[in-house]
Amino acid sequence: MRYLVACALILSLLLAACVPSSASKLPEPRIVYGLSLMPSGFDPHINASAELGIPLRSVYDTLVYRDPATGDYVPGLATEWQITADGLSYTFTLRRDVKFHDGTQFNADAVGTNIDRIMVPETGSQKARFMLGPLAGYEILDNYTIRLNLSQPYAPLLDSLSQVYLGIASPRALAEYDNATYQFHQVGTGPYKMVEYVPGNRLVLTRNPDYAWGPPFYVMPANPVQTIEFRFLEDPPTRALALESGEVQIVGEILPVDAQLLSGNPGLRLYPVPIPGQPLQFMMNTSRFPTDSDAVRQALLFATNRAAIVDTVFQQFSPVAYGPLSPSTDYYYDQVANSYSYNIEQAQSLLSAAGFTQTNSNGILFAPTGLDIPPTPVGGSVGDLTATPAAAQITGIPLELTMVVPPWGLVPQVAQVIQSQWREIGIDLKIEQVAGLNQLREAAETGRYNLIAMNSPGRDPSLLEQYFVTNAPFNWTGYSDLELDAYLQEGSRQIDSQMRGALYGAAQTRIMERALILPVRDYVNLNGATARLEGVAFDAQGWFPILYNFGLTPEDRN
Amino acid sequence: MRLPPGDVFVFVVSRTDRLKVPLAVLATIILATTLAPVIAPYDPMAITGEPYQPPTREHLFGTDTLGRDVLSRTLFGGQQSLSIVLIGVAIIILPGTVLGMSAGFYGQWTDRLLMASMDILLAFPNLLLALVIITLLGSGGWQIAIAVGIAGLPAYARIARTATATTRNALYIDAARAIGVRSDRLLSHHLLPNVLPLLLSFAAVSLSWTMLNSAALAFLGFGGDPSVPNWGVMLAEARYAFRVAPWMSIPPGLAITATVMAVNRLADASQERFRNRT
Repeated sequence: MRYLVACALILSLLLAACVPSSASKLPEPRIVYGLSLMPSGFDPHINASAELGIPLRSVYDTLVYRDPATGDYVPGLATEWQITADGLSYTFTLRRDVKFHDGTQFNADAVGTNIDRIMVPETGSQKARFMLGPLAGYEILDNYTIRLNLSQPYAPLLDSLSQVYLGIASPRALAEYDNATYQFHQVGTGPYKMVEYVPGNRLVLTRNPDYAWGPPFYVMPANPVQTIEFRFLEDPPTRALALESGEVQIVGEILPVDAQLLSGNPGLRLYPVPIPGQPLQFMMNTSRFPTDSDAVRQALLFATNRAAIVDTVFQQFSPVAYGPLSPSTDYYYDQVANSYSYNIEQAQSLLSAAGFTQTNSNGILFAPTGLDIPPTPVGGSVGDLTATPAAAQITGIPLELTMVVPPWGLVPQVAQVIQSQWREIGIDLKIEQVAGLNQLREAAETGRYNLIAMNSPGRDPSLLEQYFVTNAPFNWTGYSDLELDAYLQEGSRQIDSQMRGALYGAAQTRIMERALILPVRDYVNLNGATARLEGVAFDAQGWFPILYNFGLTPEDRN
Repeated sequence: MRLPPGDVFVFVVSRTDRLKVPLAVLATIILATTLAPVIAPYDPMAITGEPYQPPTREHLFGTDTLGRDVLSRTLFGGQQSLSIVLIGVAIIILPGTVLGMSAGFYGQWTDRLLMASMDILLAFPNLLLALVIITLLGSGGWQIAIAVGIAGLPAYARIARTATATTRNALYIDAARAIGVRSDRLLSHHLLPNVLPLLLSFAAVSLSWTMLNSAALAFLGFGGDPSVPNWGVMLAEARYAFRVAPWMSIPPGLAITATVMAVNRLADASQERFRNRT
């Protein structure tokens, strides 16, 4: 009897597993796309995750697009646009032949509804609102013409409007659902329709057969993929395995060692995609001893063998980074390349110039006291230098640094290689690994670090403003420089691209002259896909695939 | 006597002498760990070779993902791993015994109050509970020890309570009470020795999953400094390299397994001794 019950249980479980998910009723060919994390929310107007754009870039269209090859702006939902000479208003002429997935007609009102949704504080937009910059409002000139007005010039606006976070959603769907539920029922005008989203399990898209208004780089493949199921592969070692076993047909963020193995497999293809924006970098705290000294910060740059880090941790899949922006970013300034090449002698002479002239019994450098360094100010009172000169002279101040790292992106491994490299010339590095982004922010707020890892992706260099302007939210270097502030703030105000180039060039030079960051490697997303998948390409932001171009060659029957 | 399947091997080995083998294993592990600075061939934090090397004469257990010597890291790794486990188990055993035995002995509202609070904690899977605690405490070795200790406490207190409650009404306890032995003495001199074998064997069980939970927390990035060697962290790192260097996981894995098995056997054997004595 007991066995009978057990058998019945097992049988029912098996049957439950066989119940088709809604995805299997959808048209073939069908692929599974592995995402590397499960975003906290999937609403592009609200949430900030880069991962959400991987599926949703193809559910929505944007007013303009950027050609991934040239970076130029090309028509999207807007066929043309005029910018006034003062850079304060943008007039967009919209397409008349576009329908949302729910049949609603696309027009200027729809764009207005979307802007309203992003702008009102109740929406709680984490990124889209910020991307609109100093937007003051809009005017609907006629059914298919809309004008955006700014309170001051904002050069990154077109780049913002080309991104999924400012994708245009169906006003009907927005009215039907609220801010919490819309993410499960998203309706756009894009080449794929959203079928379902089951948090933690899957997100399913199916091709929009009526789509005929794509940008020029959307090319219909021979055997177009009809259905895409996105699954979450949060554990890095499982990604390559899932690809090899055929559980997924494409996946991003494969571990470099696994990518090395995959490159020998004829059935698979590797697509390393450079991600524009900031490289993997450590911001150096200029308001904490000893990184408050320019010489020490410069010495740390010279003391780091970045090529060795890329070799060991990234298996040579990433280029060494030298500045605050990677080369695929707009207005990247190539004069910063090869600055601070690995040079131990230079590092040592800078450190001894900074006062670290002696080595203790553990091989750690220290600065004999008598040097112009205030003792650690505890409780705000200035330390009494005359109190115990004899005792202080014996010990001195050791060259100890604290580095705060997040668990992702192989940053802890990078930190450990740096620790080992610096140890050889007498720098004692303590690594503090925190559990996630919130803990990283908390650690930054305490100010108890010399180096902290943080970076963000983006094609437009205006993102530097968030990191290096005096009162910026991510100014974790604690650095304040009116000229650098001016370069960065003017950089997003100037419309003229030559002007912008000059300003961002000056900003990048200044950041590296003052050694505010320790850049390590340019970000490269290691995507792997089955060789049967054709047309694999990514947009101008690097992260987001152009799913329209995806085709699946039928399986070889031989 | 029923044995968990994993223990069969040790059981066969230890038939000859039930205490000597696990004691020898534990002594070796503790000795190797404490003598690590003397016997380890390399600095455990220094990169001394190419990454992902298989075992060679220079690196007996190979090198890890960054090119550090796995043997040296395993030897040094015991220092943090074992201290975390010892502190964690102390946090389980000391308050757990007091709370559980008081609840079992006094019964009534003491029992209800204490056990209700333990049951609230028991309602969470213990790794989840440890995660919640460490999120509040922040990262680091000490924090891991406290988190796994508190997470392990309720199950242990429950066992201590049940053992005490069933022994409480034994004839010899009644007899002791009848001749006027005070409650605290009754607890410490009459009840404790009789529930001790059970508590010891459950302490060993606690120890094994304290080890596993602390490894899990270290793996999830709560260990503080990732360069400080720790068996749990090493195991997690090895998992990332499993495709290219499967041997990397063996030394820390074996160290954890050997420690846990030896402790389990030791508990069984000592339980046997207690039983034979009475």
